[in-house]
Amino acid sequence: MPMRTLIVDDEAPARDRLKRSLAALEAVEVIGEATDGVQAVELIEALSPDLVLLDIQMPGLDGFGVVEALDDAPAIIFVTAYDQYAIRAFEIHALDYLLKPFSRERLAQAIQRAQEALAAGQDFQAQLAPLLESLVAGGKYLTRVAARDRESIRVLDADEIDWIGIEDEQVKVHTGDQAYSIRHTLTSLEARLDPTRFFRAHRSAIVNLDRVQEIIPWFKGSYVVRLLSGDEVELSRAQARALRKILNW
Amino acid sequence: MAPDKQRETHKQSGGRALLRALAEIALPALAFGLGVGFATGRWPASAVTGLAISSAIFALNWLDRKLIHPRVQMVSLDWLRLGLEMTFLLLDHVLGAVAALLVCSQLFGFAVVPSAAWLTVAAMVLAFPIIHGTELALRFLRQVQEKERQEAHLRALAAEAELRALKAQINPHFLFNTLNTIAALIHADSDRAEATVERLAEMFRYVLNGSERGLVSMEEELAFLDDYLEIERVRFGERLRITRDIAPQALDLLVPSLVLQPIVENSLRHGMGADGSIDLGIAIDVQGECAVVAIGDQGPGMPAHYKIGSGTGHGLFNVSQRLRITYGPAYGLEIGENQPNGTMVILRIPVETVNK
Repeated sequence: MPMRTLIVDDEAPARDRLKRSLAALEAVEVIGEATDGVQAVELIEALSPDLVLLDIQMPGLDGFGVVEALDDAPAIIFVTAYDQYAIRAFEIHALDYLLKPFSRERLAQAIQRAQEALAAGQDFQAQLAPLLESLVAGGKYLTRVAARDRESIRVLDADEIDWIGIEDEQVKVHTGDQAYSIRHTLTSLEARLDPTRFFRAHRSAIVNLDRVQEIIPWFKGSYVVRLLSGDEVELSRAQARALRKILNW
Repeated sequence: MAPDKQRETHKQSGGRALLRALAEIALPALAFGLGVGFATGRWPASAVTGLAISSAIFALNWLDRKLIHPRVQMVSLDWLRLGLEMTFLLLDHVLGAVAALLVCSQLFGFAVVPSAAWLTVAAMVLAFPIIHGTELALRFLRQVQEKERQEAHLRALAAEAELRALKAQINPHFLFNTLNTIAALIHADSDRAEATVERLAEMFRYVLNGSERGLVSMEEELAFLDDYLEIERVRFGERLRITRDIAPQALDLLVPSLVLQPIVENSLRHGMGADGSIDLGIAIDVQGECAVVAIGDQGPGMPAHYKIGSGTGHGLFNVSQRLRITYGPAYGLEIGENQPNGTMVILRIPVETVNK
């Protein structure tokens, strides 16, 4: 049975070339095309493809953002024209990637490897986790987060975020008067956001320090952080000590 | 530094200063004492006289360093200052020696008469500032050489940075993406594939020649930009919309090569609207002695904490640096907001035109 494959690239000629090359391969059946990151996440969730050929540089949500937003990743072959940093990360984590313009032989080889991995029942989600961690370690913090707004997906710029908290066992990102659910744990988000701007105020909240209006003393050494949006977030005693050091207050 | 250690260093340098003072007084005292002794034949008195001469010289020298021209650690590149310092050194020696000799000759009752022996003493008094002065001049020369070496090093660094910057001008990501586009077009639209290869070749020729030529006409810069934009249009399709508003007299302006394209490239990368479309505006106007280039997009705008040179704004930083180096701080690149939204990059370049 051929692998049900999704193509993700924002450039039409690149998608056309990929489709054309894949048409010659029996192992692959192209079931859809996405022209940006958000559409990619939507189609991956709707169609559950076996394999995704994922371009990295895309406007809005990029290839890494797509991977971040997924709960259960299919087999992914990353595609890039030139990104030294990403390529090193792929090499380290033994992930397959294609460099544009790639030869048909190279494409066929990548497809065959994906097929073998699928047949072996590999856990792709587990394989991708260390890649995302290494991107953070290399200073590539999340700049855009894919959040859910009922049925659709919204791309939030990290700059837009006021704070992130847990409500009804759901992680919610607050921007202005809106709140969006997000498929991350607070701890994994904390690890991926720029630590000079995002601060864990409490066991169940992260605040964007750029949005802090004032810090008001509360009970027993704890504080309340009032944000520019008017929202108030509790600051625990232990974290108040840490914040005191950062802000020199 | 711990207070204990600090005190120790103080003591050390204090000790060294004392040793130095002793050497500067005791050694000349011995020499002068011997000289005066041979001239007068009165040994105990001449020992005291020698000490008096060298102490007087030392005291004068000390006073003049403290009060008249405090010596700086790094001798400045100033021949006048070096000359003054040496003159004062000479004056200290002559005045100190004459004053001490006059007082001592009165005290001990010997006559200071012109004779061969006394001339020897005078020569000695003069020899000391010459030795000091030579040392001073050597130190000064060494510092001049060191300064020149440092300046040469800085120049080399700047040249190297410039070369690196030029190499980075054609973004490898753009090159490989374009090759991929051409590979796709060969089957789908061979005429377009051919045109794209021609444009890519034009672009490379321009970059290779431009780095040698320095200044080019705005017309050439715009032609290069058009090649670039046509290639991007193949990729973006209908999503890329461009408006141009270029004053006719602007075409003859002389500008550094490769200043427009990096800015436009940056706009394409960051100026995409939510629907994936790009509205690019390019305006060039000549206002008196200053040409103003404005390149705007309708994207989400730069992040509030964006600074030229931080992170990905590499191309912009490069252009900004080159304009500043070429024309001085009054010209260069500014990033602002576009109306109703997006980013506007503004270049200011002094008017200089092609002679036709």
